[in-house]
Amino acid sequence: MGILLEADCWNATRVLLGVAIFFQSLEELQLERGPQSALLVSESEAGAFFGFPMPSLRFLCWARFGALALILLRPESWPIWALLLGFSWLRSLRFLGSLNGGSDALTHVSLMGVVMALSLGSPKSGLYWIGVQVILSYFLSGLRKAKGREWWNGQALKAFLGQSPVRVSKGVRVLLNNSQALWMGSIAVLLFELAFPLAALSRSISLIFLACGGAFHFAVFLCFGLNRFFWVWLAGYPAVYFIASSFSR
Amino acid sequence: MISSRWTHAFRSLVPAWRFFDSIERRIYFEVRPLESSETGDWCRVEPVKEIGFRDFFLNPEGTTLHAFQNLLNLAFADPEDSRYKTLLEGLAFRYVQKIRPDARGFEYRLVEGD
Repeated sequence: MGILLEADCWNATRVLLGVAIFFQSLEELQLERGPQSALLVSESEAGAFFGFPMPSLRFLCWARFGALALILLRPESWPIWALLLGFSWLRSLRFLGSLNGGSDALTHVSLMGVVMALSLGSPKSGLYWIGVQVILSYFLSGLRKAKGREWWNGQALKAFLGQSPVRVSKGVRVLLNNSQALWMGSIAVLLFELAFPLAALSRSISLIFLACGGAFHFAVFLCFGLNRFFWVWLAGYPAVYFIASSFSR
Repeated sequence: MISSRWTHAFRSLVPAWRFFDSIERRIYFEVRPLESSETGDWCRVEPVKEIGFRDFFLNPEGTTLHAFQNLLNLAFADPEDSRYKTLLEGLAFRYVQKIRPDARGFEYRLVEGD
């Protein structure tokens, strides 16, 4: 694989972030269908919570499609990216601050990085901001897990898999009954997350960690149905690669 | 003092240290429809679903459950806040009406996962 330049990482970050937001918006257009939609806070309930009228979810989805279309025409315009950030944040407000937890947070933090970079005329600053956030997201999560005993003995992984809202595959069910495999899985997650800052050391090490990260998020999707995490973290990976490139220069 | 609703409003804008704050014990919302003369069994308001290829790109059911889980976590973290109680009662009422239109009423409770 050839060496990616700053411009390649910058473009890849924006394209992948745009794709992630496109799928998020498309998915949200379908949220209000089916019986489970009764579990969503309504516009009027959210408006009453914050004390001002809330735009409709449909409007916020189409507003983001519109902003994405404008970005295709003017990708270097920071006010359009800021508009996209504003609509994404309003969408989170519509659900009392967060619709999808961590994936909302990384979407917003990445958009902040893009807005900052374009307004300062420095793609590097945006890539560093996003890359550092991605590295910290794994490391701090690992640190938090490492403080308790449950992740060291495999009990936490068993509890999480047992509480999953999706019907896990036969392979995962077998894993649930195998304490040694659970222990190994827990340790692997802990070590991956705690060691993730090493990805910044060199391009080749970063590629190994990013491949493991992709596999990790795909496994999280299979076990918990968290599809959005995969796409938005993927959008942050070129920034991690960029940081690794600048360290190994 | 910043009110908690504004804390919630900005929580998706904060950097990495909050990304994984939901990795804790899960909270379940259970409802028990009231039949004419007896109470039914408690059941979790969380339809377990099968994951398919399409869900990798678009998973509205999963995202809805995740959003509901966020609300449960907020309600469990601050049980004295009557706004969450009111919201949960409204959601439970709508949901039970959809899945059990014949039920005359219902009770609900929050349960911490094992």
